[in-house]
Parts: sequence; structure tokens; C-alpha cells
Amino acid sequence: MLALVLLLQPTGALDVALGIDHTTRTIADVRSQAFELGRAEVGGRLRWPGIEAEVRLETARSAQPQSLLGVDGNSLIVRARRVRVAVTHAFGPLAVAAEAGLVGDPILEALERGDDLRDLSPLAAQVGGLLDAADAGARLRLAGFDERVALEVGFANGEGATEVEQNDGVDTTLVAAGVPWRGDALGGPAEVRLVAAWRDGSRGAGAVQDDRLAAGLTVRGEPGSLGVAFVRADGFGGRAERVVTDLEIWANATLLPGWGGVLAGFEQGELDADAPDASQQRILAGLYLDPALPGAPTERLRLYATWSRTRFGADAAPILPTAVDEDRVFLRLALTGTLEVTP
Amino acid sequence: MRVVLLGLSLLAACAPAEEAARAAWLQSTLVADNRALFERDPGAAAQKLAKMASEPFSFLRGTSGQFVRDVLEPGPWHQQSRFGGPATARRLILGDAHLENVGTFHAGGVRLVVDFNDFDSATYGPFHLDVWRLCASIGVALREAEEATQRRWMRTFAEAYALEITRISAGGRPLAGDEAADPVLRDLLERADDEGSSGVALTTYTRLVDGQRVPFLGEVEPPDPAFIENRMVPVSLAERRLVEAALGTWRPSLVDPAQVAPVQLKGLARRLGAGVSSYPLPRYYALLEGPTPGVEDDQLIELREAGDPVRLPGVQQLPWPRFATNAHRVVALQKSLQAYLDDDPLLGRAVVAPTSFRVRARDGFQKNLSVSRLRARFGDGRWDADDLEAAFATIGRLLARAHAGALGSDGALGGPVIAAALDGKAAAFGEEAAAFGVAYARQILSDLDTFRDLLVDHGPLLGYGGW
Repeated sequence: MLALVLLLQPTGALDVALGIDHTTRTIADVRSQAFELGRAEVGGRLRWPGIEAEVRLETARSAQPQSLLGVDGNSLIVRARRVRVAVTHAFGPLAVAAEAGLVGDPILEALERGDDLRDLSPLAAQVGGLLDAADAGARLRLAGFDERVALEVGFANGEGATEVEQNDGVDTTLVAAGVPWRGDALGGPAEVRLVAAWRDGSRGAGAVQDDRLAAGLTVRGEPGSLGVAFVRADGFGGRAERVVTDLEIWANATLLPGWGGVLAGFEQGELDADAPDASQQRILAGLYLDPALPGAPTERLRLYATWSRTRFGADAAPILPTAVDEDRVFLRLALTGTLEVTP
Repeated sequence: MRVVLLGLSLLAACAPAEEAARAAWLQSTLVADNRALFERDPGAAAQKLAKMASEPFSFLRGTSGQFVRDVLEPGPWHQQSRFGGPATARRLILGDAHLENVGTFHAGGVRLVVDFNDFDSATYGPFHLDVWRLCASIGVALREAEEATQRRWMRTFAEAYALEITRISAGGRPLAGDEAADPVLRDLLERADDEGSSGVALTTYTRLVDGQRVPFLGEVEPPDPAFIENRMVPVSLAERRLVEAALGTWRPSLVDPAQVAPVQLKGLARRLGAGVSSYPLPRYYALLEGPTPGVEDDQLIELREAGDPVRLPGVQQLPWPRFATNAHRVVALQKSLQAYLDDDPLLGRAVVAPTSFRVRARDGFQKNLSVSRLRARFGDGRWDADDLEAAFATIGRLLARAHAGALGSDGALGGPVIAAALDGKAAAFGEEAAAFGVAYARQILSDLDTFRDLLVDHGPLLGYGGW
């Protein structure tokens, strides 16, 4: 089988994403800090005309945050992040792509497209568990006119990448994306991109409602970028009646082209619409440096230094009876790159 | 009038929707919490659920995961303590405090003490979770009592906890637990003394055959139609090899290995039917040669696989204390939370990675507070509300001693941290805990009805794998 695959002479690519972190956290005068490997992903892709197969692996701590123990202590273990086969075909200005396997969440990928700060952190909606990185299922995408319009439908089991199927429901996701404007502005190419998405889903053995509504806007140009992402969950954490929303705004601007810039962000999350003060707001500010690595197959090596303050409402923090602020100073050395391989 | 009628009809329409939502949540979270057991031993896992459905206190014992989700996650039961805070959330806690986790020990082999005895879920988190859950357990255990009486018991328990924490952190001597002024705990100590002195565990779980002591095999108590109460069965060859290998690691983990003779395994059997949360976990009774070759001083120990603790949603410890295995965690935290390091001189761990066992003495001196006995004696008037109130006050003080003397994930002793948070407001702490306990006990009883319906509708594994 392997011989047959190689006989067809595919091209290949090796993707790498690393994030090495140091966090200092202060909450109500209690300070703690930790060094962590925040992100480690490696992926391999094989391509033939119209076909691509991908296996992307990531590391995770074998002990989850509160399990206290894991495999051989709390080892870093490798797990699948995406395992998929995709088929693409072009009909004039239209392109059709279908993929199946452990596929990325269509909503998350649409919102992340154009996010220039993805290597700093995932979208807040993913961190908060509103969206999963991947799920077992299939996707069908139709795009046209150089991605100016795109429609996508996805089907998945709805349990995320780390759980098996638990009910007979199938999550159905629809995503519409468009580029209403693309041209030259502020000294270079620029574009405005819009996303709207909806998911009808269920989760867990109780088939609890797990619906999503999402919208996004990104503006990208030579001097920087700006993004807005909104996700609303109808049903969350096993509670069908729980409504959770998350609004995230981020921006970055290059100060010295090729050397670095500044970034800022804001997040407004409502963890339970029925609770009087289950909100959390986060403001973020930071700098990044882009040291050039000539000759390396690296697309980007970036050092982030950020400060954030998160205010948890009285009903948002699990243990505190009053609103509380959390300050974080976060350093991340992020590397993302792709090495193309041809026979 | 029309508005009132409309309102009432809306309320009536909402109630079934809320019940359905609660049922789906209960089903999903119970499956999530038990999935590993469903996969490993579906028969035993189904019996665990059947045992949970058999009566309210067993249901409470099997739903600590639902309790912490309710309290810590946004939702109708989400509630913070006004005495909570970042420092009090880093305390070492039992993780699953309830009345049947109170028991006796023959500390150092010389004196009987009352102490907590189940540390499977011991972890780091908000101290008030233990207080609130124990309050709810009082309400479930004595559910027929008037609400005002339940509230009084819970308030007394929580107030006694708060006062004792403050007293200990001011330099007061902790309660030793070896004397009981109330008839409830005195009865427990007396029965433990009788059963321990008479060697009832050895006579129950072993037999003398041709002058040799061997494990008893068979029904110790008649089974329920849906689950096993107490049955001893032979072990397979693989189980015997596993236990023998694990026992090789046990003695060095004891507080004083020199006090225990090198292990000579005389017999081994598997115990079925014990516990609720831990019902499906392998539990072995190992018969060891005592100090002399005679049969009179043989020792019986229990090896029980140590499982994962309950997750506390949203509670962060940076960094989290780590343990090599669950048995390392359970044993280390038990020693930290109990009155004496040698409450159980045979407490230790036996590990053959990835399996780890918590090992303990299996003698009559270790006896649980029995909720069914509590209910029977309160029901027939042998113990009155004051007797129970006095016992709950003592249990509150014992919990305070456990929390006060244990180091949290921040390395600080629990006593001063909790006392500072309580700030002398013991009465207010008691009121808060009692208000929660009374209300949440009702929720547990309601959830039990829902749970029984779920078992009927979705089968013995709540529909897991049946999609």
C-alpha cells in the first residue's frame, strides 16, 4: 500500500507550530507562575493532484488540569489533532472541496482565517470550550471567484476530538463567508472578510442541545489587522437551557516591518445569560518581535510579551462571592512554519 | 386574573422543560463520570448504577461529580460561599465528605479514634465544598426529619467547624477523636472496640480449615436482585500475580515498615459489592502471616484500586500538585488529613504501574458510621435530635481538624487561612451552609427519582453505547 502511494509521487509538506510560555498570574493578591509548553504541533501532508491527506499531531499533558496524575507522571503525550483526506476540484471560477476524517471545526476555521495572532492563542471561544478544534465527520466546501464567496456544510458527531460518539444525533454546521472588498490600501494589498455560521448540535449521552451561532469580521492590510469574532452557544456544559456568548476583538499593527509591532484585544464573555453577573471581560495589550531567520524554512518566529486583565463577575468565578480581577503577564516564543517536500 | 392564569400556565409549561433539561444533564454527566468503568467492566458498572438507585444515600454517594458541577459551574445551583476566596480554594479537602465517610481507626494499634476514612477524592480546592456536601448528606440521611430540625443539625455542624478552625488556628489543641460525649459516636466507638477485639473481620472473611486459615469464598450478605452486597470470590491467576507483585511495593510505603513482618501471603480473594462510587473497582482481601506461625495473629489487609478524584470545574491551582499514581495521592493526602500518621498503621500503597492500590488494615476496629443505623435509632426514638446534633457538632470539629492541619497547594496550613476567611463569623457560616444543605438535599432526592426514570428509559448504562 505504501509502495503504491509513493509510486504516485506525491508532494509533501511538514508543518510545525510551537509555543513556549511563561505565565505569571495574580488574582486577589495571590501570585503564581509557571513555565509551560503551550503549543506543540507537527503535521505531515501528502498531495496528489486534487487530493490531500493530512495527519497533524499535537502534544497534551497526560494529566488533565485536575486529575493530579497522568501517564508516567504528567508526561507530554502525543495525540491526533487532525486526520483527514480531502478532495478538491475546480470548475472554472468555482472550487469544490470535500474532506472526511477527524476534521477541523468549520466555524472555528472560518473565524480564524485572517487571524494574525493565532500563534499567540486560540480564539477565546475555543479556549472557553464553545468550539472544538476538531471532530469526527465530513465537510463540503464550495468557494468561488478567488474566495470572494464560500459556502460550507459540515457534519460531525458533536463530541469533539477527545470523545467518542455518545448519541445518535449528527451535528450539522453551515458556514457562509465572503470578501466584500479586496484591493490596495495603506501601502499594500488589503481585504475585508465576513463570516456567518450556524450549528445544530447535540452532545453527551443525554443528547443535550449544543447549538452555535457565530459571526466574524477581519480586516487585513499591510500595516496590520483587525478582527471581531462572536459566538453564541445555546446549550453548554450539559445544560440545554444555558446560553453562553463570547465577543472577541483583536488588532495588531506593525511598527517596524519585519521586526515587530503592537497588539491589543478585548473579550466580553457571558458564561450564563440567566445569571445576574456571570460575565468576564478581558483586556489585552502587548508587543511582538519578529526576528528574521534567513535560510531557515520558518515562516515565522515571533516573541510575544502581553499583559492582560480579566474581570470575572460574581457569578462567573467558581469560588469567589464577588467580582475579581486576574492579571496575567504572558511571554510566548512562537514558531510556525512549513517545509515543502518534492520528490 | 387573566394575567395570573397566563402566568400559572407558563409556569406549568416551564416545569417539565426544566425537568427534562435536568434529566439530560444528569444522564450526560453520569455517563461522562463513569465512562471508563462502562468500558472496562460494564456489568459491574451497571450494578453500581443499580446500587445508586436503590436508596437515597447511595445515590448521594455516587454523585459527588454532580454536586461539584452544580456548585461550581454556572447554572441553577451555582453558588459561591461568602467566605470563599483564592486562598481558601487552595486547601486540602476530602473532596467527597459525607456521613458514611466518618469511621473509626485503631490508631497506632493502641487507641480507638473517630476520623474520616475515605480519601479517594481528596484533592485541593475550596474548603467549603466539604462543609456543604456534608450538610447535604445530613439532609439526605435524615430526610424524614422536619426541615427546621435538619437546618438546626446542619447549622450546628458548620458552626462547630468554624469555631474549631478558629480555636485551632489560635493555638488550641485539636480534637483527638478518641472520646465521644454523644451517644452516636460513642456507640460507633464501642461497636468498633467490640468487633476489633473479637477479630470479627477475620472470622467473617476467613475460615479455619484443617488448622489453617484460608479466605472465605461465598456470600457474606445476601445479594440484592440488582447488585451484590458482599461476596467473596476466588482470584484468577493474573489477579494473583498482579497482587503479589504489587504487595512487594507495599511495606516500604508504610509509616513504620519495621512494625510489619515481611509479607507472606497465605490467601487471597476478591471482594465484590463494597462501596458505591468505587463499587466496580477491584478490591482484594489478602491474608498475611502474622508475627507468629499460628493462625491467631494472622492479618487481613484490603487492596483497593485507587481511582481518579472528582474534577472541580473552574478551580485552578498553578501549579497543580502531582502524584505518581492515584494510590500515592490517596495515601499521602489521607495521612495529611487524618489525626495521626498511624491512624491505620497498615495504610500504604501497592503499585504495579499503571495499576495502583490503596492498602489498609481490614479489621473490626475500622467501622463506618452507618446511616441506616442512624435512621433506625432516630426513628425508634433511641436517639433524639439532640443526640444527633451533638454527634454532628463533633463531626464538624473533626472536619475542622482535618482541614486546619493540612498543607494546601500553596504550602500554607489550612487553619490560619480558613480562620482568616471566616473572620469570627461562625454563625453566618453555619446559616449559609445550612441554607444550602437543606435545599440541595431536596435536589438530590428529586434527582434520584429522575435517575430511576433514566435507568428505565435508557437501560442499565444510561444509554451509553446504545446509540
